[in-house]
Amino acid sequence: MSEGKLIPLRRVAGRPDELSDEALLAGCASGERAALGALFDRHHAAVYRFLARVSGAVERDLDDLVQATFLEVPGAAGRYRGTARVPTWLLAVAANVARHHARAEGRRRKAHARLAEVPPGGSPRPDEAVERRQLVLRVGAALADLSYDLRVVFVMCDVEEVPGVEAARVLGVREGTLWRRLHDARRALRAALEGDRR
Amino acid sequence: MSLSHDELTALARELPADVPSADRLEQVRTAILASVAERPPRRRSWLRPMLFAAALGAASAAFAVGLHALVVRGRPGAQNGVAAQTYRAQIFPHPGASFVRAWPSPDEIVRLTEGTITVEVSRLGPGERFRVITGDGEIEVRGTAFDVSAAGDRLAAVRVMTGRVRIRSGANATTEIGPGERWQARLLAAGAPAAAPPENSPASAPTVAVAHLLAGGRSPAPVAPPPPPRNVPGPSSRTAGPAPDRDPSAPPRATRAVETLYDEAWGELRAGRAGPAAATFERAALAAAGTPLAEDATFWQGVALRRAGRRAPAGRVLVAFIERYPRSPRASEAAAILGWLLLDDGDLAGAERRLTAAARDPVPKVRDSARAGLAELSRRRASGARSAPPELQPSGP
Repeated sequence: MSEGKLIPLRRVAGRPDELSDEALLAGCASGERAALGALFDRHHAAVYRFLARVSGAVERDLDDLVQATFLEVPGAAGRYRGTARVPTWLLAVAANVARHHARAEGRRRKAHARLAEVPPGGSPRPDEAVERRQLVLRVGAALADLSYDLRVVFVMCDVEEVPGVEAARVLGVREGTLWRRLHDARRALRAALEGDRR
Repeated sequence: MSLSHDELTALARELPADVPSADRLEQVRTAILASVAERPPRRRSWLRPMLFAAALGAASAAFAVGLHALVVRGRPGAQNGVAAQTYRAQIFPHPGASFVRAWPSPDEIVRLTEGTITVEVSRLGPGERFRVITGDGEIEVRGTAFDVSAAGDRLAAVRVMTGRVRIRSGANATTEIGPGERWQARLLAAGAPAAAPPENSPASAPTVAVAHLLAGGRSPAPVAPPPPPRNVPGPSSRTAGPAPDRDPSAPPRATRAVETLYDEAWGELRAGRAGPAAATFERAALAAAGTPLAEDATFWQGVALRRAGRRAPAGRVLVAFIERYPRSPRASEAAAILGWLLLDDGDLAGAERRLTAAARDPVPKVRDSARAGLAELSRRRASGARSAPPELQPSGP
């Protein structure tokens, strides 16, 4: 007779790579680490990208934000209503994490320090590549200067191409509000860049 | 300068937002999963979309499992039907086998102490590992089916049916064998690659990483202490070759080997080589599994990892230590160190739990450290500021 000690393993119903995002989220809600791992594997790149642009964090700070985002998932998964795709919902979770991040005084100082590093508008440009890089840096600085709400909407809708209807749902705002914020964000960015130019 | 909408968006997309290196990514992933392990699962809400998705998943999984069971029914070694389902494998114990599933996905470890098991591992995903370990060896696979036998907690034989497995045994070099091949301690079967057998000497320190075995799961199954090495019953004659010869003085020699490892680890820690010390403590903990020395070695592994700046692994090992040895005299000390780690990582709730537990310790040094941590925690809650924590320096032998 076998003396093997059989340890039952709670598991997601199926292999993570075969499951839908929704099923993985259901697994996360019931405390399945494997489901959370699979969700991380599937969507970490988008979350990293989004948080880097929304928060301006780099390196370890960015890692912390991504980690905090995915740690929120098991608790928040039960509130998922299926009104938006899971990747969009994850970005909304990340946006909330970034909002808290933005409140920390130390992080603000870093953001300001980053602004100080942006080259002045009138610096010489030996070639187009440098000019382009400077322009990108100015966009980054202008983006960091936007209010949090405008920044999130701009990054989510314009950069990450989340449909407006879906973004409004996960951000908990009306569509009209979202479009207004997006319009304000674009206008503010253009104004900032033109101001630099002058 | 007037930018169009498209130009503005294109510029924003060029903002640096690189995904980190694979190493950093793995650290983050591990930290997330280790942290989640400490949290109780939330109740699932009654959400129709989620239930629908789960039901779909369950149905497909049931179909897959049924199909899989049909496929493996005739496989050699599958004597008792499906015995244990792990995340990526099915384990079929042969009569007399003694094993535990020691660590879950993504780094699954099955700890085999006696007898033979047939293992069928499905294809692993990126970053996933599956290993079977014995007291002196380790078999790692990437999707395969094989038999592995142990006698007296020592790796005795491996036979591969499909795929390839990598065998690390004792202090010997890694050996890989493929379909139809067989590795056996001391006696090599025809057709097997020339693999040196494990040696029964103090120098043949285990090469298995124990961190994953010990680290982090909510309720990791206790590893059964290895049976006495004398009069060890041989593994299944069908699959396993003769067990390595054992001298009657084997227990003392094994003990000496463990103590040598432990002393070596301490020497490294004293010399300031915390990283190597952690690895050696890890090996000592594995080699001493089931003995009081394993408790000490695990604690010091966590301390060494902390000193080496490897915060996430240190946290995992300390969590595992506290869960496995809750009545250890070192449990509060581990909780205090863990509390500071969590505090520094911004997990204030987790830090509070650990530090509160440690603040009741009768040892003044531990108690004071925990109270200082709680005071710092209150300050951070009030201000949101972060500062470098003073490290509790445990006193060693």
